[in-house]
Amino acid sequence: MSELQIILGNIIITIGVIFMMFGALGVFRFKTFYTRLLAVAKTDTVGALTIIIGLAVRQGLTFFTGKILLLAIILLMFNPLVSHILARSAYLSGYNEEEK
Amino acid sequence: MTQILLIFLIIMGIITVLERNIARIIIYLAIFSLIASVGYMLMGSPDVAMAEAIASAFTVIFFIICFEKYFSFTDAVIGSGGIARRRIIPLIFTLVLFGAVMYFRPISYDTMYLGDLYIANFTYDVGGTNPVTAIYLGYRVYDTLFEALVVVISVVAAIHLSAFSDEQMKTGKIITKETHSEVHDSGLAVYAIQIICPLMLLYGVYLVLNGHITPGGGFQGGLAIASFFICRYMIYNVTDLPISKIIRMEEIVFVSITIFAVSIVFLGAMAYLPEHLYLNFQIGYMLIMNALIGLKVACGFIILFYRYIVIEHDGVEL
Repeated sequence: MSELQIILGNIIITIGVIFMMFGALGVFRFKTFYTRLLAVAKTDTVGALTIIIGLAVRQGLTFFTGKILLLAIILLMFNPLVSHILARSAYLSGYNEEEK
Repeated sequence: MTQILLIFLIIMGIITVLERNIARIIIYLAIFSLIASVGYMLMGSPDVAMAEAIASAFTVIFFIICFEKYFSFTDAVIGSGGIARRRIIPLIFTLVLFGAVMYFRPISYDTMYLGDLYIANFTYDVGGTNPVTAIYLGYRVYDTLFEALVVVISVVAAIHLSAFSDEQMKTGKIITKETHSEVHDSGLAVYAIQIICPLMLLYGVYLVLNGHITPGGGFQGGLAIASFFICRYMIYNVTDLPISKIIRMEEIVFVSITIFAVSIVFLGAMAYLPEHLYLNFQIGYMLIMNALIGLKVACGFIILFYRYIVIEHDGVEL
């Protein structure tokens, strides 16, 4: 049972890392600020969440798992909010694309 | 290995002095700091090596950013000179240095004796269960005093580099529009940050007060406390913090940190205590130092934020 937990946890963590790599690839390939923000907002949230779930599966039910699941809930609530604030502030400040 | 590194250091110094291209000198200084940092590692002090690496990284980045405003940095580095000076000599130098580091492997277990000494003895010497706090409050508290001084000076420098002088601020003729927090208009952001803001303050105080048990300490906790005040401006759009009083408080806290640390650590007050009070005294010392450092760092960041974002919003014209 413990072996299966570790293998399954490792697989989920690897999937999460692949999501993060797609986000990083998006930052390098996209040309404008808003599309880069779009790529990063989704993939960072989902990737971090997947890594945390993988860690929770690996460790079983301990205090550590409780702490990181609380962290996952906070991440799920506030990471999209931060992207929203960034995009909104950039739009309202009149961020120009030529000023890179 | 140390001898080879020192010879490289001398060669790098000579090349830096003889070079006339400013952009190349910046790069050579970065290489100089790198070699010095590896040398500190070899001589058994990894904390100094880390400080040197961080300092050199930041100064080089700062120089390059300032340089880029007027000239193109890469064009300046690969400037005049033949193919040998431009490409071949840097390439040979990089390959030799990289090969030397990989071959001689400066990070080995014999050079970590200071780290092992700290980790083995810190519970008795300094107290608590966090070795990082034991190092920056016990073994290397001198560094911490100067780090605090650097924070104070950088806040003062950032304020004086700002566009308007204090006199112009006081007459008040230059601010033509009120600063307005754009986040305040977004109901979604206000609703969500209202929930998390008190938790940020609580978390910052937790980090400061538990710095000797869990990872944390004065510097990190101070930043979390400052972020509470920044969020308060962002969501409620109030600018009612008395900045001059906060500046005065930061200076008083810094002086008290220095007096407290010097009187306890350097005058050896701990050696005259009876044995059963020793542990409480150590923990009290670390608690008070962490609290003072947290307060100082929080005040510094609040001052920077308010000076630049609230008072100098949009760079208004005179």
